Amino acid sequence: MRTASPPVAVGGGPATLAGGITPRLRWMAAWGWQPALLLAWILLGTPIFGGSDVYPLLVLAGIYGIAVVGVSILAGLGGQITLGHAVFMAMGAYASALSTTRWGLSPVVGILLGITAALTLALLTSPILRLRGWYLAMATIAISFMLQEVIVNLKTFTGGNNGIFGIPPLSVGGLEVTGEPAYFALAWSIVLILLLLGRNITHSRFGRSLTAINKDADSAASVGINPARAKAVLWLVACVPAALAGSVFAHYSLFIAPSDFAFSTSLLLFAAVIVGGERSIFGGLFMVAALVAMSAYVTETFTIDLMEAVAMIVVYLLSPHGLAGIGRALIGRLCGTGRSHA
Amino acid sequence: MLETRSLTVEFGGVAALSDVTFSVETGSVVGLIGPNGAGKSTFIGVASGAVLPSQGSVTWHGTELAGKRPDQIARLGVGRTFQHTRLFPGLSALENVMIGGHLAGQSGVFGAMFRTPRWRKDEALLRDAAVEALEAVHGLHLAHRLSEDLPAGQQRLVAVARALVGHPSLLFLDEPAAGLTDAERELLGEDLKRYFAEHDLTVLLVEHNLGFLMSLVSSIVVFDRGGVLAQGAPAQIRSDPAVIEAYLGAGHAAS
Repeated sequence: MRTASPPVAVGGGPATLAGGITPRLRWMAAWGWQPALLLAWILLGTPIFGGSDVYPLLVLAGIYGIAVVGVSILAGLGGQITLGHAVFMAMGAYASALSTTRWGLSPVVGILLGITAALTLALLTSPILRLRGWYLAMATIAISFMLQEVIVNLKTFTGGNNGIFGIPPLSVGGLEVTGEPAYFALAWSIVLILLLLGRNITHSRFGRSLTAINKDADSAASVGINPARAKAVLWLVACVPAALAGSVFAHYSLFIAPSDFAFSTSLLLFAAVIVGGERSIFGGLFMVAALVAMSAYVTETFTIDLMEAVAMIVVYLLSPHGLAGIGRALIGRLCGTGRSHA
Repeated sequence: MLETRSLTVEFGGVAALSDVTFSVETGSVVGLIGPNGAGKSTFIGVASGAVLPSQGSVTWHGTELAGKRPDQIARLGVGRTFQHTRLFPGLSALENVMIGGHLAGQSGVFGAMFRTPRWRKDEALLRDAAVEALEAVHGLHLAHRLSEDLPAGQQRLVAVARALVGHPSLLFLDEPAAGLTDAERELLGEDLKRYFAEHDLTVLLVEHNLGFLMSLVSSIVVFDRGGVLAQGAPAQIRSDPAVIEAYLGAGHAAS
């Protein structure tokens, strides 16, 4: 049974219209725990897991996590199914790799070039956002496979299937980022910043207009929201974190190949967001860490793709709002408010 | 003035509206009635950009509305509610109404990300406007409820507030009192009456409850089978034999 709930964090936002005894404290309880937990993870992840088999995967999860924030806003908040988001990671990775290995540019310039390349690709592909639902999903898959072909075929430029070797580590003005702990801290810190920025988007005029388009496009248009324009802006915004993730990936792994940005990577990003919960960036981050970490225990029969599939089915049977929905339902039951989602 | 000339809408060969011509004076509140399937919602659909006409025109102050996109029409100061409420689930009533004020805001994605002063000003402005609109329909106590958790009648109130918050100069209300209890309907009638008196706007009101409708409108347009059957003052419509036969029924005319 749903009943009236206290005026706290209504609709998932820091709405404190009615005030209350300590609105700020309530806001902290409702919204401060996610960044706090992430900060604790950044500080304690290395001491706890450093040196273990799973640690390199936790670094990798942080890098994918950067891209997940973009996918979460695009697919979770805006409802635009993207099964090709790894193409933007490829843009960042190849721009960084080529800039540092071929053109003698600094990694920072490489990152900026990567973001520019991703934005250009997003602008060129933005007409596909006219498509809805599964048609859009198919189009993003098509772009994913097309770019894969292009990278493989431009052998002299991209190294084809062999990829690009000898990428130097990330460095900013003489300060070099080397070793797994450094990349762990860097990647998850970027994730933390993006989580905060992403949540700011969610609870804003732009974010609400995305929810409106996602839930009822005709109704949204009736109040003056231009769905085509909002979706195009969203597409551009969502590609930037992925490009950044690609650049960090290139500098971390020191070697990139087209297969790093294949369809399975796009699927991982999307599955994390959907299983994590459509309106929860944090849920997506948790899921990507869980899915990537699980691949340490992959066997020939129990593969990562199988785990993704099982996670999707199990979580969806429990709640249509994903992991975040299950969490909220549990908290609701414990607090006795009976609110199934907020 | 809202002018409709020879408007025809066909859905796969079936005419939902055929050769409809009528006009609504600026500043008036006009009722639009007719049996189910008469084309009332189709007309609002054309005038708000949701339905494309086959022929004819709908102009507001001389600007063509028919054929424009819904968001373009909203920018011209035209607001609407839907017959099937259509709030945005997952958001509170207040947030739903804030979305209605979309055009009053200016901040974009960067302002939102970095919480710029302009964004703060914008957000406060939208929030205040939404609170005001909810207050106007006695719905402020619903502000923090999730829209999908509200009973149908209260969802209607939120939908009306969402349409009012943008201060439209032309407003289409599609059955705003459907699903409301008698007490709720009476209160909404009073609220709308006061709102219409205090604001400079033109209203086209579709409503099946004639008591509610008569208390608000200065004239009535009657649709029947996709055409205009009659137009005139409420008293005139009540006694029009053609209207009585097609819609009101003899029993209603007697009362």
